Amino acid sequence: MRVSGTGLAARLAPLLSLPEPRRASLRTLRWEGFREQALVLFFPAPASYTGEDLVEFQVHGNPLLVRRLVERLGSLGVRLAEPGEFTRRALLNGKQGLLEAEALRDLVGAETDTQIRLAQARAGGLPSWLLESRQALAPWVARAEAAVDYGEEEGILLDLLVLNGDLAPLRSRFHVEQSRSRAARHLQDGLRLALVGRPNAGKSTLFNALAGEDRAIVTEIPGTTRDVLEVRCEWRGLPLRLYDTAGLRDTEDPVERLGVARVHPVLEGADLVLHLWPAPDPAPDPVLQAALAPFAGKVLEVRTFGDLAGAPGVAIAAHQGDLDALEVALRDRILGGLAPDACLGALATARQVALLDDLARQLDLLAGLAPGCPPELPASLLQGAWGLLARLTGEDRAERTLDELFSGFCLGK
Amino acid sequence: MKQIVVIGGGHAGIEAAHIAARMGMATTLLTMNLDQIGQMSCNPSIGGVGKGHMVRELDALGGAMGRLIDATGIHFRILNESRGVAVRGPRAQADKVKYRIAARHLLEHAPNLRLRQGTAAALLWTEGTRGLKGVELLDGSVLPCDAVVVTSGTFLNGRILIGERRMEAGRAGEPASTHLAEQLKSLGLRCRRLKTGTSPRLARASIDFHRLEVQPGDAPPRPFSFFSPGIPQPQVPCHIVHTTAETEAIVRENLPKSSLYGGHIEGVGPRYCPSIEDKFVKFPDKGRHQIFVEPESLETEEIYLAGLSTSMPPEVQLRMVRSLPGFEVAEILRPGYAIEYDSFDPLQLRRDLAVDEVEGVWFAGQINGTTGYEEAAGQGLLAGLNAVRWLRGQEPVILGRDQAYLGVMVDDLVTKGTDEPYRMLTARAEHRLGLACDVADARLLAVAREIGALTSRELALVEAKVERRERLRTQCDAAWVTQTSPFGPIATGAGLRLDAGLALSDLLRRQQMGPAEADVCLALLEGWAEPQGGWNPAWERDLLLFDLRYAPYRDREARLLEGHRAWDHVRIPADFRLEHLHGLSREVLEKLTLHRPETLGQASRIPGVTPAAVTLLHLHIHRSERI
Repeated sequence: MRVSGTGLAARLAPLLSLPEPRRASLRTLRWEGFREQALVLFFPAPASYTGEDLVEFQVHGNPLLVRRLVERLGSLGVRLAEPGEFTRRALLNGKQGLLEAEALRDLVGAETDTQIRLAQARAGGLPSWLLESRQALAPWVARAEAAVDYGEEEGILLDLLVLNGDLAPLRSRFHVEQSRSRAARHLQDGLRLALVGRPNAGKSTLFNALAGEDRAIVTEIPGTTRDVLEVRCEWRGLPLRLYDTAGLRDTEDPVERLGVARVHPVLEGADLVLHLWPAPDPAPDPVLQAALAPFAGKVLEVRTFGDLAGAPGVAIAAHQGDLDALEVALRDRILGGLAPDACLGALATARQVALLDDLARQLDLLAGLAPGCPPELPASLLQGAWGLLARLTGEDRAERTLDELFSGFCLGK
Repeated sequence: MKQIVVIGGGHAGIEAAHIAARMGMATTLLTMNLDQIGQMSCNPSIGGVGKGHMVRELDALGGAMGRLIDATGIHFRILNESRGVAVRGPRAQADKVKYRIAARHLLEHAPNLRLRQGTAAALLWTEGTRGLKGVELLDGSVLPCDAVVVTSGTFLNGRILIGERRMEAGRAGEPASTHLAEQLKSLGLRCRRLKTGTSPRLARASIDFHRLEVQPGDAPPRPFSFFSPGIPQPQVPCHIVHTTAETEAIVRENLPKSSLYGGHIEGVGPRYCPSIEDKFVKFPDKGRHQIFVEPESLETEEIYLAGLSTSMPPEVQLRMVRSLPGFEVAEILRPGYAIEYDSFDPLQLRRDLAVDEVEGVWFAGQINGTTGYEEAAGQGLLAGLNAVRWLRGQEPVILGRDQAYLGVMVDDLVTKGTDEPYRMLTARAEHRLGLACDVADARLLAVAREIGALTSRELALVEAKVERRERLRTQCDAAWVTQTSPFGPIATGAGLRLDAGLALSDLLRRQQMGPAEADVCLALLEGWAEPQGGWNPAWERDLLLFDLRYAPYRDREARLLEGHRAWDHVRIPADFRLEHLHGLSREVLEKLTLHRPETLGQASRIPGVTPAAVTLLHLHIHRSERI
């Protein structure tokens, strides 16, 4: 159990006397007839995770005892932390940067090895390319502002060709990072695959091959009755969320079989819908194809049990362990061709991806400006990009801009 | 009957008194010298980049400066024209003498306004600092009032320095004000010394103008005010000269004699209005610096050198001046000088410019640490109108950063404070594309109506213009352009192929359609060229093209700033106890306590307060609201 706050020594005094900082010490905690031996660690502010006093109790694992201890702490004015509250305090006290805090949150929520590795890769603070972006942009922001406010008097020009030429590598970098981030987001969430097909199309076989016996987490999807189960697992480094449309498995009635309507929400939310059709058939089931037509853009027809030589499209033989084609298809269709490791360190939270998209768009707009346009347009776009960068890194709006701006120019009269 | 006293007849004082009177409040303007109302302490010009924007904004709200400069300006020029419609700003040189007279005339003929000469010595309250009741003058008399706007400029404990000499003065030849400054300090208000400076004035006849570069003004000159019928004064060109290596050498070898560099001055100087000493010291590689040679008035032979602000001893100034080409036998009429003065930390103000700790007092202008006539005028207008609204129990008018440069300025001052004299630059506005000054009247129309300082005729003028613009814009959107339509040949002439038809608006969005082509197209629209007060077809065409071509960028700018704007509307309750907030670092807590933001938006702009801290603040406000 971990407690963070100010003045903990005094506050917890009725319960125990705190040991020397950073020395794990045995203490007997006594309260209301309870007696518990705990190993106690004390980190005095500001050298702690949160920046406040931090005390850790290692106690015996009885849940009831733990609850009683929590109640006792409650009587001393210590309340249960809200989700993420420790990290939030760390953030506010400057012990964590915003990006690091987000990475940590994702680390705590990770369910597969890949997700852990991705989150850990982001925990090192600002990726270097972000810092480089700031350095690349700063002089142009400064020049644009100077050109707008003082340009005519002091002859400061903003050459759009030079500007865009100079920022071209940055723009490319943003596009690359966008791809990586999108892929990283999918990996963070898990690739959502809906498995659809007639009975005996090989869904169960594929399912078992992907999910395996261990490391599978199974949940019912609310609102879809028992027709769909979600299984979260990791396969070949790819975190997956498999949706097995069981309702399409069990009945003989053709209409019932195609109870796509029932599983509609799952298909909507899927990244890819795998329409499985077994090798002996000449083609995928046309009725099912028609039913899946609304999702045409993300349907992947997968031929199962196939003899792989010369098979068109994506063909697998799960029973033989031949799943390479599927792996390639998943990477291409969802991850933009990237391997999970290529996404290490990419920005991955919804907030970060949205800001990155806006940032890339700013530079795209800049590149699209006609050469004769007045400087106020590029200046506005640059200023916007600067603000986005600040929000991305979690720093306050670039107050020092004006100083940086004008330190290089002799301005004013 | 309630009344207001405005202390100080400078640019801030004029606006405060003028608007209060226009709003129907009984107002007295107190000045140490009636003849110096509207005096321009240094550069005899109004406007410029960013500054011109503010003048048009205050004009849109019923202010005086735009009308005054239009009536007395002798050289008009739109600056930064090539930089874009949103950032270009009008500038004009005034006939200083006429400006003073026009200002005094305006005030003397304003109903509800009285003028009084005298020196304010103290503010009087009924109890402590509650219940303001009047202003006590040095001569012993008392001006009763319920609210006071202090616009004392550089006069509070002003001290002029030239070389090693110093003299108490609010401006060359005018005494400083000490009693009021001391009283304000004794109330616990935080103050600091700032400095500014001015250039020498020369005798016209002693300059060889033939050797100077000529810069003509705009022809025809374009007025500042949305309500001016025209520009009555004859226009004159201004001239340019550049400093030489000799000028630099003279400055460098005499640096110890300069008040600034000789260590005689305390205050912090304006970075964007540097003295010539500053320029040579900080930018030694620059070589030559540009100096503008401006007539002060058509009535006198005095010439002002803009860009040569200095506090060197007079004999050094003479040598500096004579090192300029064409100035070999120049005579100085008045030397340049530096001036130090008391100003008060604007963090102590609320967003309506009222002083937080004392009741009934507003500060506007250089007293808040700004530099420039326009900055002062803008604050004067806002302080004056908000003092009136306070007396009437109405909500103050607070302009947003996305509404006006005036809003940016006040927010910067009141939220972040300022370490050095604050000058407006377009770089300070993040909503720049949306703040073009040519449409300030339309943009601020609703606010102007709320304030009630424009006459009904003036309001009608703006409304008619807005309505006409909308009507013509609708026509543009609806007019269909094909090869065979009347617009067809114009498009072809501009090098465009019209395979499919398109709306006229879309045609005008193309870069190939220049102003001339646009004019021809628009003339084909019904009602475009009809004469109407305030309607200038060429200007309107510019604005229409600006609107059409910039809309996506303007919208994007606004969208990127949306999150911040939402925060501007979340009020931090006045009785909100910051100390009970868990999770804020001590540093952030200190800043919030010092700056006392009234909204989350303000809090977010305080340097050092991170977005994370603001989010936390938001959460707590939410929570306490639910209780």
